Amino acid sequence: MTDLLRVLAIAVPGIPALAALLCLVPGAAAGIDRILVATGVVGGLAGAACGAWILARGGDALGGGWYVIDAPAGLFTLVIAGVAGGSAALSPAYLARATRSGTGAAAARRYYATALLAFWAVLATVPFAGNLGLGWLLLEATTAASALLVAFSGGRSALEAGWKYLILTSCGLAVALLGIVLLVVSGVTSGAGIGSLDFASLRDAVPGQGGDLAAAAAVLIIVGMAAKAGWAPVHNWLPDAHSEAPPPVSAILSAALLPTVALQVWRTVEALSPAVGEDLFRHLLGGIGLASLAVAVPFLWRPMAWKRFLAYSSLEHMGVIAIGIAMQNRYAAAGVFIHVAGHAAAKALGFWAATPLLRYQPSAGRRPPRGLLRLDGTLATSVIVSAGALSGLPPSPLFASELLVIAGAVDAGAVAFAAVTAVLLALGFIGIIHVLIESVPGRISGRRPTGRRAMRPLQAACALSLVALGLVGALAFTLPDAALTATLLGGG
Amino acid sequence: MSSGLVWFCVVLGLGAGVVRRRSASVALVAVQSLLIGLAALGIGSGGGTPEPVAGLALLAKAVVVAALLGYAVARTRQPRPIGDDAAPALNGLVMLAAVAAVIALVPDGPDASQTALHGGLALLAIGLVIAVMRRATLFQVLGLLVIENGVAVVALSGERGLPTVVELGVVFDLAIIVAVAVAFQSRILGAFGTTDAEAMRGLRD
Repeated sequence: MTDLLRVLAIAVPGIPALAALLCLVPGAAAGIDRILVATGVVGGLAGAACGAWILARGGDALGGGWYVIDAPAGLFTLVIAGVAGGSAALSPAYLARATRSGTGAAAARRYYATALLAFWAVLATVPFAGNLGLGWLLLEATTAASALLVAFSGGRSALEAGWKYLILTSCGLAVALLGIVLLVVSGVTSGAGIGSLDFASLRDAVPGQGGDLAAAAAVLIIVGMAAKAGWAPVHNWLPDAHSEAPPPVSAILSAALLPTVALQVWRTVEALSPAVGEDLFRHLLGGIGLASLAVAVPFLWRPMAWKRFLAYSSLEHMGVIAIGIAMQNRYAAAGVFIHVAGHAAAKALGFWAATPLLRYQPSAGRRPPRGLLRLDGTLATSVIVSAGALSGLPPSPLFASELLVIAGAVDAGAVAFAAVTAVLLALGFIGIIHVLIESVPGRISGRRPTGRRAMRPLQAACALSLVALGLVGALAFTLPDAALTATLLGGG
Repeated sequence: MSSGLVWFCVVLGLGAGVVRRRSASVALVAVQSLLIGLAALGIGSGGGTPEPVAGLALLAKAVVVAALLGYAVARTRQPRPIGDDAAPALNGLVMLAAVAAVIALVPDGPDASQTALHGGLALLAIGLVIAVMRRATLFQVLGLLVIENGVAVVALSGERGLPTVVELGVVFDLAIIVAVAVAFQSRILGAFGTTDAEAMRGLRD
């Protein structure tokens, strides 16, 4: 059975990779929509099955060398499959409005589909990386395809956002790479070859091995990866890229890519803690998390375009994830686990709703949406579910996850830190609820969708997101004592 | 790598950060990359173990990246060089201050020549300053390349460098990133009429 699981794990990135190649075949341009939808469904189901299987094995991990098939890999495979699969399947609706007919449009659709599927394929590989160097390479590889996608519309704002994203994240990852080299130079790694950077072998280092240089290397790795994860204060690209990218791409960037970078940070923290000590990471990541919350909250109070609002919400939620990783105990680990899953379901729905929202209410691209209830019931429901869940309003699983992360901070002895986190989250909650009150009721703006089929893709996405949020919520409070949580902390 | 070569690479980085023309800066970074590649092959390095695979990859990267950036310069020629907010001398001073600060902050290591460690950190600082202070968008790519060259200097100078697989991957990834950045250059010029980063300030909250 384990061989079958390994095959499935290879198929997870393999399916979108093959589909990306298929898009390049001459004559495939006419069938791009079918390729996107078919890959979204098949690749999404394969990823979901693989992720669920891995999670069902509990703390039982496979690999342990340059690749690892463990509970975090299972969770992130599930998340990436759901978000990227949904985004691929919903892309034809975006492309229908974004590209006109003709040869140029066919080339643009091929370009979009190839880049999106290649991005998905690389991203789907990252959770299985059991090696710091390999993980870095894969994260860097996600940058090229996703930068092209951010700038897909070709407008001035999109080019500005894509350029900022490309340069800032590449510079950040270059700093992280220097950190990895310094780690090798410091003597923390043992042996030679690719295996010397395996998380499993880094974990074998004794306290103090590598001295101060190892600690400096760890700081450079975390700070460098923070630029890619969109954590403050190196988050400048995030609001621009998320708001300017096509909505299906924004969904992958926010709900899948950012948390997946955080997974690499999590694995690094867990592997290097024996050598450099937990306190360094607790202070560094805790500070980064709190800074992200503090930067995001004022923007959640300001009226702004729907996608830009979601982008600042991503900054807030990445802050919660950073604090959870920093605390390194079972409450916080369970909180991060729930938060990643719940945030993915809610945030992806929010971005998916942006395609019809911008079609029927174009002004939502410049200012907050309004009168959604009178505009369309599905659109209003999607925005309510997305923003309501992101606010942490019970029974959203994010309420439970934020509670668990705060409990983790208290358990770690950081009571004042937990209090500040709670206050910032409460302020963010009020801001998001205010957005809901402004957007849903009120006078209609824009034009109502016509035809029964117009909103069917969003109806399906909304139903799936609700099911996912319900399942994650049901799991929330059982997780701190589950065997799975031990694996999340490297004890599996 | 010999101490002289390391510091010569740092001087080339400083030069790339202060020259006015993009083409001159591209040439200086290309020479820097070539020297590091040759040093990895054991040519002119003044000692050290030759690393043929990494060396060839670094040389190939130097050639490919220089060609791509040269192409970008040719495709995005503008009537006059893009001015900067600070004079070249001030840019140079900021770079030197950043170099001093980074070297002071990062502790010494047990397993590498201090010169290489300091040289690599100096290139990190210089690259970051170039990316932040120079207004022509191509300089931001050059800043990234200077940082990557700093990484290579440290990696080649220790008893244990990066695993070869990772080193090859880094070179490949970097070439792809530069290719995408070059593709952006023409599109930025087409949309904004200039490749001055100051023109790209439309997205503000």
